[in-house]
Amino acid sequence: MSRMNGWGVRLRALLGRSREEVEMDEEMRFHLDMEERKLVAQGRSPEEARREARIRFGGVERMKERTRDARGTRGVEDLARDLAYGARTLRRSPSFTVTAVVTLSLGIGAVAAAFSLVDGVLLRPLPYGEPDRLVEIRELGESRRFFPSFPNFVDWRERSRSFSGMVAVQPLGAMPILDAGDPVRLPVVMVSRDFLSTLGVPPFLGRDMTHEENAPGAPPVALVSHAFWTSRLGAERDLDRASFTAFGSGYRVVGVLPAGFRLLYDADVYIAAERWPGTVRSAHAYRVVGRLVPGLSVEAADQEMDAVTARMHQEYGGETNAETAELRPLDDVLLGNQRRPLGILMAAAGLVLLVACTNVAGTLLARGSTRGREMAVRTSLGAKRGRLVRQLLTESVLLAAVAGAAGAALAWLAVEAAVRAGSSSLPRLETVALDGRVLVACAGVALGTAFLFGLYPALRLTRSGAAEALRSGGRGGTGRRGRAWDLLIGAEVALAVVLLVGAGLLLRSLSSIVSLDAGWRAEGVLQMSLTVPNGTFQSADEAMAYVRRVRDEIASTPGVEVVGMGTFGPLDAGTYTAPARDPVTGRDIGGYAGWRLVDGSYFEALSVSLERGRTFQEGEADVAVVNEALARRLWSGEDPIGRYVRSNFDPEGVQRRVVGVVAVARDWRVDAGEQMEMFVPWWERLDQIHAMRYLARTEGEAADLIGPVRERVRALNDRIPVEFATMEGEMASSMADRRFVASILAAFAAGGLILALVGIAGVVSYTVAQRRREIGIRLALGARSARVRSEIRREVLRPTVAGVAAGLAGAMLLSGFVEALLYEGVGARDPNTLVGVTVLFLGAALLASDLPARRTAAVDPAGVLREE
Amino acid sequence: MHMAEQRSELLQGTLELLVLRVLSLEPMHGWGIGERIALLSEEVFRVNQGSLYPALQRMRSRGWVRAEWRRTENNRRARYYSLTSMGERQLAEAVSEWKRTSGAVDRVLTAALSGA
Repeated sequence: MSRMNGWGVRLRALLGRSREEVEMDEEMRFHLDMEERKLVAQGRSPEEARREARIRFGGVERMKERTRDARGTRGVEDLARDLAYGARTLRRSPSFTVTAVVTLSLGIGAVAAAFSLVDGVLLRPLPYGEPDRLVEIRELGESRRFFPSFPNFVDWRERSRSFSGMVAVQPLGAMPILDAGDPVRLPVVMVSRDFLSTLGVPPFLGRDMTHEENAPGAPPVALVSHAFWTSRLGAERDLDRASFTAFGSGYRVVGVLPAGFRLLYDADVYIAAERWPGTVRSAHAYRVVGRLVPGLSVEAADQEMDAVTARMHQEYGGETNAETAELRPLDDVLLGNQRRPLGILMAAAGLVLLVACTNVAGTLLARGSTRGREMAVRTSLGAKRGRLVRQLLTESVLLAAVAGAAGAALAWLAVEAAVRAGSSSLPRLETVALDGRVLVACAGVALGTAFLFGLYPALRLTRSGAAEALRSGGRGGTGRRGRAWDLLIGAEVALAVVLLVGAGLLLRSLSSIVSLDAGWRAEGVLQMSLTVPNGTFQSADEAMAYVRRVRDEIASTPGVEVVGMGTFGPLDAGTYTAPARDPVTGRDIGGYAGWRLVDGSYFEALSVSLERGRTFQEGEADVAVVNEALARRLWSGEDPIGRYVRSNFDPEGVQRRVVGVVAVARDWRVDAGEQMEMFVPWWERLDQIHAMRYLARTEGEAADLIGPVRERVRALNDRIPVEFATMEGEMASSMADRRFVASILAAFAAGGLILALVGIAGVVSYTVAQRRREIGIRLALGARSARVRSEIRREVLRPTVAGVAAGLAGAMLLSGFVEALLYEGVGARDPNTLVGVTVLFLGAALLASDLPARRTAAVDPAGVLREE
Repeated sequence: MHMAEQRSELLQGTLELLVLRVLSLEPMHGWGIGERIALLSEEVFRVNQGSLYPALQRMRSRGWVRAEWRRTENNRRARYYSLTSMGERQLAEAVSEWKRTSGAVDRVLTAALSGA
């Protein structure tokens, strides 16, 4: 007995089925045997007896099902059985399984990676307390939107009932910080009272500045960033010993902010804005953020602020041009313009997934001819269709689960690489990671994917007509593939084409921006930024002499051809702008003109061409150089040389004589469009100078100059911090976010293309295999293999062409979404891109179908005939 | 043995009652239970195996019968079912319930016949 038991256990293990199943089978066999014996005893022959016993027994499958039902543990058992069965089936065809897993993991990985970007950048709440209650407030007036001034901010804070707290922030830019490590320029920001409490952010160490410390005449104190505290204060926990020097005074550090904290600006040092509160009501220099009182809506607060601002406008008359206020939720301000590009990325990832699913669905259908027979047999034995469909779906879920895990791993790699490569290009990018939320989403996507690609084949394979497959012997016949397959190929191709068009448009737009003639050249130009700390020099003359000596030192560095100077470089966003005024009447002529302090060599250093006249001479006064756009606006057509211009930035009554016209149309943001510019000698307005940028042009690599220049400049005075950047690098980072999105989209498009091509190749190769008989016969009858080959290819390429057409149509329909990201030179229906994608895809499809089609030559006609 | 002209369908509850009764006589395997019922009912009931095994499974799940593999007289392996104590109680209840309902049906039928 025990020996039989032992064999039974081994047998069960071999068959890999559950014990209950085995026992049920054995019970059935016993029953049939007994019935047979009884019939034989009644006089039947053994064969008759066996047949009749079986007939009497009835439907085995159904009875088993009912018994399983009665057991009540059906669900779990079924699942376990389906999983085991599915795993076995997949193991039996490794090449299919591997291909399908790789294909799906590409799609799922793409979606997971895109989602972690979207989640990290857009969806995760901002790192403030109750961030949805924070809004940014701006002034609205004269149909323009302004940053508020300090006096207006104070009035708002006092008069408005809608906010439990309001803060004003002003960036001062990079300022010299001394006596905390080596002298360095760090970004400094001024903040008003109750900064941390309004934002709902507790300090990492210490406390916020008190009201007494944030008032006129208070002793200088500051908050510092976490990075500053660790790298420059040695992570000193006793803040009484933490201090630094800036603006000529010693600052005591009273608080350290949490790591990664920022509000609108990156800053390392936060000082008290209300020690020197701005007094000019029309100086639009602060950003204001307010926390709404609980329960109040943004609309209601907006209305109240409009009323408050209108009253202020009445009271203060011409002092302020703010008529109403505009409230915008803070997350919209910070992240709003990332929504479109990230949304497009997400959609593109979805498309890649769809292509992958279509691919796998087609392959499942292809394998279907063999499975069909199996399904037909089981159906005729009484298995319900629903059961079979569920089992097939379980296989799909298994595939998708493995692919999901692989996809998550891929996504993790991709995200790591992306974060490292593009940390400056998207806000909060450095906090993006593949976290729990993303993994859960990934699992959900995998499950959905399983249904997406598995349901249709499962339904088709278990159709009632599948019984035909049994009868016809299923040797493949002429193997007409049927419309379903053409549809799948067409769909795959269409999706891939949409992806390619989208990526193509973005890339073209990017390249046209890059090659845009901004009017100046960045190649070989090194930018050195310098800020003189307060108190370094005793007089303005001393400071000027130093600034000039620095220029001379740089000019004498070997390799430097030209040195120009200016308070702002060509890519700086913070240029001054003032209303363009008619020089005679002084009235505004509409539009704003940039106002830049530069020296005479600025233009040459940037290779800006001088259209007319000349540049400044050293020491010249009351002169200006204008750009074409401004000249056209003021004196259209007439010679600007010798005419006069005025600006708000000069004292009343000061006029400047135009000595030259330059051809710089686009200045700081390369694709910002035409901008009117006026250039003024820097030595005339020392009061406006906080920092100086030196632009040194060299023939070779700008980066090579950094070492030698730094040496010479520091030799003059090593307590004055300087910073270097190559103009080419600055150009690149100004387009970093576009480039980031475009390159990811291009990667997705490439992935989609490859998947579609693999799909096409697969179909061709399968067709050849299926139609071996037909091909063999035709070859034996003398047909040329090349003709047969091209016929097969043509058949496959038909749905491909249809797919390309559908894809182009779809791309044009969806073009509206991408439009916002494109540079104006490239329209969403750019014919070059559309034609290019079509040619590329069809060419690639031809190639992809060529290789498998060659296998027709491998069909041995004699061998096929012998099989008949 | 005479073969019945008609084969009657057994209601699920009635089948279980009969199986419990048969098993109360002695433990038996599935085929044997079917034969026994046929014998005792004088061939009125020919149990459909499609109903018998699911019914046995149900009764196992409810704890009325237990199953174990044993050797038959011919030394073949078969699954024998036997009553548990719960099964015995269930049998007693089912019998009294059957007597009640069938008695009531009887009365209705005879009353109709004679009351007219």
